[in-house]
Amino acid sequence: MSQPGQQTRGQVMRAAVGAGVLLVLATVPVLTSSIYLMHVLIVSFMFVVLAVSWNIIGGMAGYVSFGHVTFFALGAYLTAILYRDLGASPFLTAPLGGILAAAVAFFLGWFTLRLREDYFAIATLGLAFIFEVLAWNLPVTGGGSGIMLTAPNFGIHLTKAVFYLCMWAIMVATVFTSWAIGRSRFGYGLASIREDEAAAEVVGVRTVRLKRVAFVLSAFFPGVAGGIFSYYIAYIEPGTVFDHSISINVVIMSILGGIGTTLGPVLGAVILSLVSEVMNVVVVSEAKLVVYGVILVSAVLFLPQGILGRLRGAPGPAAVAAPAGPSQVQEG
Amino acid sequence: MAVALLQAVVTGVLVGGIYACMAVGLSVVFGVMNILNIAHAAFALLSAYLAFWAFKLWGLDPILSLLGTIPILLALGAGTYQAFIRPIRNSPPLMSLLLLFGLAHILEGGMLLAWSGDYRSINTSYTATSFALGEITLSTTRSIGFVASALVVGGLSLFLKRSYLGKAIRATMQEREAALLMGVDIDHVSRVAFLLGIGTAAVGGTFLGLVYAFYPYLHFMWIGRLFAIVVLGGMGSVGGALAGSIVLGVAESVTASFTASVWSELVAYAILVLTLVVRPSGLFGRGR
Repeated sequence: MSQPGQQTRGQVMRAAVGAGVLLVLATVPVLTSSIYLMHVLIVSFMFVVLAVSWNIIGGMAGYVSFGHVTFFALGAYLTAILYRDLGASPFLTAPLGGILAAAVAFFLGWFTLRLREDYFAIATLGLAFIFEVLAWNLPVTGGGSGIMLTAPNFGIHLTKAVFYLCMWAIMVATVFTSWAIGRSRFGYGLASIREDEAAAEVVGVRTVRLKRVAFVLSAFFPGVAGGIFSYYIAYIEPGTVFDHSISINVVIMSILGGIGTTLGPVLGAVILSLVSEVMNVVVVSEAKLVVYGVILVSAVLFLPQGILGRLRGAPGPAAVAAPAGPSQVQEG
Repeated sequence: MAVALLQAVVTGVLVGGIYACMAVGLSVVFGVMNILNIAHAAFALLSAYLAFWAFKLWGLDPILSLLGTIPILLALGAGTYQAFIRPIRNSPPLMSLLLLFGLAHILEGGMLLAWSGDYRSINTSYTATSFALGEITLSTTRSIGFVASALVVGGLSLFLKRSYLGKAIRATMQEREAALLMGVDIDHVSRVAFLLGIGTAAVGGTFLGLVYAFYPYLHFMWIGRLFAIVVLGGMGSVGGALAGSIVLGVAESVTASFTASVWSELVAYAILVLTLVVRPSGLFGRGR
């Protein structure tokens, strides 16, 4: 195990390959004239942002959130409202969406992060519903009729390219932050919380503070992405931005790819975005929930360390399912 | 004013009784297995749909069709336990939470495929009727649901108090390792507890479906309420779940009577969040 900040040759190589792939992706608008391809990539990038940011609190710290969609929706609504009322461009106000989401996470984390993991998971699910009900009913959000935006028009291809690069930039920022956390003292602190919170506290890790920082960071990026997304689709209403399949999708992406790592959620997000795109063509939309559910259940049962964990030779499900401690004297 | 308040409280107690039926089951499962069954309400909603079908296709009364839906749900529950819960029963609680979250989505998607996203309701001959009791009126469906739930909860607590298996369940809830050392078959106890939970979900879901219109996504609203109840009452406490149900039912009903109905949807989450802030162990929970 390397020390925080210290680099092995393999790590440098992997980081270089990752940076190279990201740079190549930036040139896609020049290379292709396909609007469809760019759209698919924009949505995939968005899900990479959502999954990687979810993983900061859900994977690295082990505090699973079932309400990640809340932060995305907060960003989407803030920029849409500022656009409608003040005419401010979402390209400029999207970071404010991130700040709002982070501020809300700070406030929510203040009490929910003192709880056990499963209580936290329920609390986030409940909070997502509170915000959804507010979005349906507060006058400022336009309720069920939503908010219309006028998407910018620089010609079809250039418009797509602008949104593409925006989402790409947010993705790069999210992935870089997650990667940096994973190698930092902060990241090791989060890992200690995930492995054994009581022990971490005993050796002097400031668990509540670290969790709060992780939660705030994990809320910021979806807020920014939501701000750009609302401008991109030019019309938001509670059903779209509070789509609860987003909350389950980010969880599946992280588990499927490899929870707790940076590359895992990226991998999972790309795979699931493609699966979702294929399903749009192949199956009726009602069946999508069933497929998502089946993927999540199978991942937990057969691939608890994710695809990445399996590739790196982590123990299979049987070994993971039997942790040390008194519960080993269980019935056979 | 006083009559309106009394009316709201009585209606709340009746609905709270139906909540209690499901909440007690959820609480027992948590107490025995340390698993939060986030798919609990999805099973409940499924039984409401089955009752809907039985009524629509064969004109069977929902109370009668319980004789068929309970065994179906129990079979489904037994399969679920064997295939999904048992293999991960020694994994961290997080894994079971994720698995059941996935299962809830499978059930929701299945219901969406089978019955579409439209609102459904079971319109029996007595659905919109009520009877007077002094100055207040009692809705027939809510009253039937309350009585049935009271029977289930009463039967369940008698079972837990008196029978050998019930005692084994309570012993496991109190001190798992000690129960194991005393020769309790934890696997068997867990299976029975899980099936008891599914059974209460079947009964409670059927009667909620008799009282309110329903659609596949609704199970997330129901589970939100049930979580609020068991957190308020104290996780794993049967009496607490009972008290929490009545408190939530009354709070919702009173809020709905005196404000816009939107706010009554938020009551459960307000209670959930407030409890988690002020007293995470709940009213009757032991300190964690």
